[in-house]
Amino acid sequence: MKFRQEHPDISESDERALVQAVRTLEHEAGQESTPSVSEAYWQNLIVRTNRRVDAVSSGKAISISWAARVAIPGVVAIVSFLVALHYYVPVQTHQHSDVESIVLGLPDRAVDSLLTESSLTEETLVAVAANGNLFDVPSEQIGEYLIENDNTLALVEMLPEQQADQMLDLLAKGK
Amino acid sequence: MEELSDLQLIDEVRNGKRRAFTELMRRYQQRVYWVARRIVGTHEDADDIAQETFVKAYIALGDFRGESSFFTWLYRIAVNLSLNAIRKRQLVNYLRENEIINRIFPSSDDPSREVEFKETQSRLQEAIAQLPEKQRAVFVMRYYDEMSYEEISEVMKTSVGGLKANYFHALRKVREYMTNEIPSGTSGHQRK
Repeated sequence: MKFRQEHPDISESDERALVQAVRTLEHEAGQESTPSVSEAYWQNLIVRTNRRVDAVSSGKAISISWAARVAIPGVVAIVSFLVALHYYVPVQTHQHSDVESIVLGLPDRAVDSLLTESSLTEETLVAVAANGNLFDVPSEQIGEYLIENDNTLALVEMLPEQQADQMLDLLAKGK
Repeated sequence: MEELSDLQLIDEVRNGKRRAFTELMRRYQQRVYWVARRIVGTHEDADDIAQETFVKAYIALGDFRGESSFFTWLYRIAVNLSLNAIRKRQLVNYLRENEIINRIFPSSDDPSREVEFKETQSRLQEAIAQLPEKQRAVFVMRYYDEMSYEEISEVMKTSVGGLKANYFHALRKVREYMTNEIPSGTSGHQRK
């Protein structure tokens, strides 16, 4: 160390001599090196220091009580809710009594998809009918149906020509 | 009533008895104040440091292991706060000398602020104020409080040899300053 190299041997007597010299100079300067402080100041210092300690410790207490009263219960409540949500959500049974509520609950894409499929089904039915499969039922039943409803003419008028021909063939076979 | 030791009082504080801490303050506040006052030089700063020392001690009392005496531990806090205060003031002085403060805070031109910063000091206090911070702290503890080098070593966390060198240098500088600065009319001796 620099100081130790400069003064490798600082004896006690050297130190004492220097201290004495400084004390003498201090005395000669004729000034009080230690200004006086009144007793009231020390009392006041204790009061002010206690106030600062109170402020710091109450700040700690506030933060602890806030954590105890608000933060911890809040966190516990949120975690409990999430756990409950994760484990105890009611299982969807797919047994809705109300069809409307199911449809309304469907996402838009699903509804669009169903509508498309529905129209496809209609087309498919027409195609099937065009191929003659639609009337692939016992001719007796068809005949009974037409007689019971007494609407043979309207039914025939509504049919496309090809289907009407098929129906007539079927009826002819039934006879 | 039997007077409790520092350690007994500390135990009571740890058990929530604030009065015990007030008793510790009563015991040591003057020494804490004076070590701060002699290092920093002004009452205003020493007053603040004395309070802050006890606040820090109260907060950290749980960490006090009793390896050194309570007073040494308290003294360390006070000396460190005092040295920090000096550093801050040196920085402020540097900024002021370079007129940086005046550029940032034009209102600090107010001469009344300068006046409140100044305080009447004895020659010895002026001499101490010239010392580097570490020498200043060692000088105060040794010259005024007559602490042993071992005690100062515990406070400053420095070797005894280094402290002796610091004190020796400090004494020489103080003597030199006072010899040169004593006005001729103050005493019968005029010194160069």
